Amino acid sequence: MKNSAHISNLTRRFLESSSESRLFCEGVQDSFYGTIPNSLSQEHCHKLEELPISEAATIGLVTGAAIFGIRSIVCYQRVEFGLLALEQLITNASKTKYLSCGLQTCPFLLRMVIGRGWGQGPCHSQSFEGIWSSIPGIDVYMPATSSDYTAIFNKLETTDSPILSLEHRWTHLTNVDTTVGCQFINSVVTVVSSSYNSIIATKVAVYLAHNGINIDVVHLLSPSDTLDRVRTSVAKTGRLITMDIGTVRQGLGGELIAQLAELGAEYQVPPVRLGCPFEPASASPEEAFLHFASAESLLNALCDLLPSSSSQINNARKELASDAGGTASDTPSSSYLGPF
Amino acid sequence: MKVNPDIVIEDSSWMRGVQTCVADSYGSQLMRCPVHLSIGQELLWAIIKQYKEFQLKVFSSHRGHLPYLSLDGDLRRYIAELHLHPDGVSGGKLGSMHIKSPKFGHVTSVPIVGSSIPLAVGASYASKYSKHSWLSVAHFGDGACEEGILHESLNIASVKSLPTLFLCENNGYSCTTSLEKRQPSKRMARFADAACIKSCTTSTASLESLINDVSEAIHYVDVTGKPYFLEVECYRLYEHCGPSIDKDLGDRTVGEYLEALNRDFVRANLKSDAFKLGYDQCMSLISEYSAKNAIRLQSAFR
Repeated sequence: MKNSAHISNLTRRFLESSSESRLFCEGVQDSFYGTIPNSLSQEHCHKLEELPISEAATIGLVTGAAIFGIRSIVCYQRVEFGLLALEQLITNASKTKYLSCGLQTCPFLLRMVIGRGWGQGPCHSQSFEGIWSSIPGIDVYMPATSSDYTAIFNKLETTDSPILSLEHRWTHLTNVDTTVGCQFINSVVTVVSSSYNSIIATKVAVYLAHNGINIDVVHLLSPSDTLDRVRTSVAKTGRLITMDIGTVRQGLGGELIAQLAELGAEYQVPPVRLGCPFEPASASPEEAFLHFASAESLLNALCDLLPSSSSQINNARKELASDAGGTASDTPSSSYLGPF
Repeated sequence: MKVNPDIVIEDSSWMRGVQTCVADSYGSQLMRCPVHLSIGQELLWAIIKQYKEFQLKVFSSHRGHLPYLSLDGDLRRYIAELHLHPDGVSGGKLGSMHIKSPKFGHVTSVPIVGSSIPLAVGASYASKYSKHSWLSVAHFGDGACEEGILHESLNIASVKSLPTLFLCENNGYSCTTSLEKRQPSKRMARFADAACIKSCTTSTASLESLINDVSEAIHYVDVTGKPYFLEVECYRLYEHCGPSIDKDLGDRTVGEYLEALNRDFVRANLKSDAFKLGYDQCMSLISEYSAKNAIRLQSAFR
């Protein structure tokens, strides 16, 4: 079972749990990558609301409706469409509680998909987590696993503020039993990641462990997660690699390193930030592969941090490539089919 | 329901007294926030005040004092908010551009032009599925008609048949820029045509027709459950933001101003007692909160 089917089940449960729950999506019958149910029972079918292409008004609508008790999910096919709704998110949705002196609430979940590879190009593969995370009053999540998606939907049941889920398209295609993150007593590097990068980093950690090198992978579901796990790990390893889904510049890795510096973190070598360069992503398969943080870029960074272990790291690289049919690809697996 | 014109004129006069007092007192610099007055536009909101029984939920803009005075009218909380004092309607944290009274149906005021329009549409959506229905009003000006969010909101309200009153006060100016320089037509209701929404253009020049047109708009939304676009042509006698009369700022000419002043229904039919009552009530509270602010600011910034 894939995460997409899991999210669909969570959505059905949400919509059938309350008379005030709704889902707004342009193309609702297309099932949003298999993550929303095609239909609901007669009693609940009106809760699947088709939308015009009006991202800003949609956020305004669910905000206004939320003030009067409606709890919604809104789906945008790509993060970039959410840019059209930025003003409504910042002016109204995020500030509803503040502007009403706590008397009004604004519970809704905005799901936006991050594209990658397969010709997504410069306008269908950005995540902008730095922008969304800079808005007070919005909780941002970058899920990787089925348990992450469950946590987000659980939060939706109780929240009184907007929740934003930046969903890497490839996490929809991941099996529900996939787990992320690992810790070892003798780890020599700490990798901090979120979203699909956590799946990459955890897989790399498994192959490294086969070759006698242990690294910690700390998965952050939200940019605002407490840094206790990261601090503890860095105190042990003295080496840090951050993996951003979006750009390194103004990225979450930089924010995390700044916060660790304020907490007095010490390193054996300077921390390393992986992620996208400060330029648009190409649609070309070769260039797109090089644009994003990957198993390759992580292994390269590890070689730089641990030069005396490069032969073991490269052995892990070979084993990973052999098992995965190559580590260089612009699709999550050889079974991936286009167009989206 | 029948709207009493005498009460409308009395309430308009009171609102003008209140706002004139705010303008006259602003120079002391103790109301430390940008104030956007609506002197000249009172008639509409004195009429809407008569429709409280329709459970109105009004979403307005930076120019939101009249909806507040119409639906709530508590001057202490109003004046305290203008002084950013904790006694204010929003605890003194939001000031003039966010003046509102959710308890009495003035749900919000948002000073980003057009931003509150879709909120009214959302409230309509909730009302459609609620046992306790209300009537949502998106209140905006001609400037907001230049924002894309209006068109998205009209389209959604129409296609989903959401009972929203789109109430556009066309005062002919965005700050000091005339309508002619901003749009190819003076008629804002044309935007409703594109969304297949019933509309009407009326004016504050005639009380009788304004009462009838407001009544028809509210009843249409209430009875049909569909959106309606009511454009009210009016004139703002004071400047966009601040305490002064605007006779010749930007595109405005003295001749145009004097013509509008002569057409001003409230001025021509002013009930002096009501005006004085509003002015005096306001002055008393401004004196109180100015004194409090003077002490407070001295303490805060010494």
